Amino acid sequence: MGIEVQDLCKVYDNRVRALDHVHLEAEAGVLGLLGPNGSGKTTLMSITATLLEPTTGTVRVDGLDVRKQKPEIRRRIGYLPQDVGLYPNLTVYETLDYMALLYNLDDPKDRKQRIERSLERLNLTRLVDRQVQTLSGGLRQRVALAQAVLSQPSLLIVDEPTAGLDPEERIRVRSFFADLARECLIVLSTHIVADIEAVASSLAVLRFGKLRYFGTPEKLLQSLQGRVWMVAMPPGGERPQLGEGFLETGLYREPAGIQLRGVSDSAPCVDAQVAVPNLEDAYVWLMTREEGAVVA
Amino acid sequence: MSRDLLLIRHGVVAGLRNPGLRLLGLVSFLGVGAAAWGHGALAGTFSIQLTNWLGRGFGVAAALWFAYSAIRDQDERTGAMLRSKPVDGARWVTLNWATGMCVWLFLMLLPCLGAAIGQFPAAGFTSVASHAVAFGRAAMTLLTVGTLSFMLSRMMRSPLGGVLTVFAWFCTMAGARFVPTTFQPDFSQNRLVFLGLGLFVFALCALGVERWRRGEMRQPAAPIAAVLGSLLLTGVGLANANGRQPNMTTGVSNIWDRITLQHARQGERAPGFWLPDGRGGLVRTAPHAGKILLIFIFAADDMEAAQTLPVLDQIAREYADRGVQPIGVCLAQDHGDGWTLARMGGYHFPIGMDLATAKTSIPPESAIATAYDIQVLPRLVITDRLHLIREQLSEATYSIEYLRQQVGRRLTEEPR
Repeated sequence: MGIEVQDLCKVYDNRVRALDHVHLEAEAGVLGLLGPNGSGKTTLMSITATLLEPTTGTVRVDGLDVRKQKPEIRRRIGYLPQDVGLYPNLTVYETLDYMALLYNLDDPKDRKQRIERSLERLNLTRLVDRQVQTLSGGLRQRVALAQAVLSQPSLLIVDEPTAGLDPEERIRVRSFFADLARECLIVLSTHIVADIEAVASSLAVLRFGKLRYFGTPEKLLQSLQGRVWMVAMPPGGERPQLGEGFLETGLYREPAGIQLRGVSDSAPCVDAQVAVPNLEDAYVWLMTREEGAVVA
Repeated sequence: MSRDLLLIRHGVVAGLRNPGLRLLGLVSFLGVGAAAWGHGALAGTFSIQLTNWLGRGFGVAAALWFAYSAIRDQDERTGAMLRSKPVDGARWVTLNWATGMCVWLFLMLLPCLGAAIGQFPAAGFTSVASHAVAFGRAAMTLLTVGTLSFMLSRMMRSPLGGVLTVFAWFCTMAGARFVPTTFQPDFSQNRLVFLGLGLFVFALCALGVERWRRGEMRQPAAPIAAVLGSLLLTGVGLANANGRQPNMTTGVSNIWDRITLQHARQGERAPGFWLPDGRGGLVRTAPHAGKILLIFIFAADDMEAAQTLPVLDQIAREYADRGVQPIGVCLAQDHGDGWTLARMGGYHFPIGMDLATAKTSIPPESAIATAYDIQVLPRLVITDRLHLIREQLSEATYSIEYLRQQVGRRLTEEPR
């Protein structure tokens, strides 16, 4: 199990360079793909899912080349795109049966068992007879997730799985990934940093098609240790005078007042306090660094 | 049940749960059933009309539906999940196509069933047989245009393929006088052409384009052979369809020209003809020497004219031993119409088909229409026993009393 991306470039017909010499590899756990809209996350996942052809470079899934061994790769992966195209008029069970048949699960007994297991894992058992069109967005997403794991893939690719979900549903989906990561490699694309923080064992940050960081989240956070500061805002609301190079990562309302949070190599003002870095700090910091400043 | 059949079953179930399609099925079942009830015993002619309505109506609707369904999984986002599945491209295309076909054939079966039930009290099992034929003929049209629409849309990755199919079909219908009848997908005589064409786009899309796009093209020889084979079949079909046009070879060279060169004049001999009867035989005037002829020339799909056919049938039975012979001449561009009438009409007098019919609207264009100088259909020509024309009538319908009067007058003049 694992993916290996080497020197991957993708240039679309309209000359947009979606991926620019990307290198990364992962073998187990959850690989989080983080980046703003248009950074190339979906393109990278589409190539890995054999839906797009790379312009140059190679991508291997379990050692299989995405250019030459598409059918073999399709048998090993589960893919959940951002927008799910399910038959609205089929019931949940029929939908999963349909998808299981597309995964070449011919044996009815085996198919039934796998469907029931997927339903159980995603807490959908009581909804088997409901038509997909009657389900909420979160439940549809869970059905889509259930179909993606039917074939017990060695690589699960999920694109923005928590977008548009309510907090409860997001937590449920994240827990599911954390549990599933023991069985297969998950490539999880999102622009919600909290999702990555919760489950990712490795992290790739993309910006304008270029890889800005690849490594573990812990390593990234380590590199910011002692460089994240909290500054109390004066009661009047005016911003304090801060040193040059202070990169603001957020404003937080706390009982003591509003706190300004940011990254800086040295204390931005005398009463600034060091804070524990989080992935949001790291993400904003990575996004604003100049080109070529990849940490990994 | 095999995997593919299960997939098709799921797809069909999903399709038939669509409220719009359900409504279409219900309305067409009831509507056609009521119309059939109103047309009583004329199952043969109603079946011809039903074929036209269903073939064209459902054909256009299905073509547009197929144009949409063909690209359902082509969208970069929503279709990606389906395209990432480990199913062979050709099989996937076939499954989607077969699912759509099953949905639409089932929907089309409903009005045929309605018609068969509606006419059963008046026409009995003739109704069942006629409307089964109507279903079969309309199904061939639907298969043809549905396949073209689906495969073209799939290859173009746009519903434009279906729109083009429908547009081209409308052009052939509207320009019927100028476009060779070979290009009409709903004409029975063109089945082989469109079967070949359908197979050609099917093979090209499923075995060629789809597999190539999905990176599954490993042995291109088989797809190439299939594409070339279907092209060859299309060529054979074209040659066959063109060969079936006016030149009917039955031992007499260019019979249609010879029919056309005649003229129907009062008091002169009725133009002779040599027309296929749809059962392997020929309908002629010559074998009825010494008989009074009632030659009824009509358009196959003319419901009003069709009301005269049972009347002529009764005349044939009543006056058979007194030397009175009705003969029907059916004008139809679609050869299948004449075939249906001959086989499913349930009439006991000879009905010939004018295969050289170019149009049946005013003024009709066909070998018989030219020979009999017909401006409006239907036409009833009554001859004496020497086959000299005595009456040329252009009423829309004829009652049994009126025809008995006409026949009685002739029998008074020529009892034997």
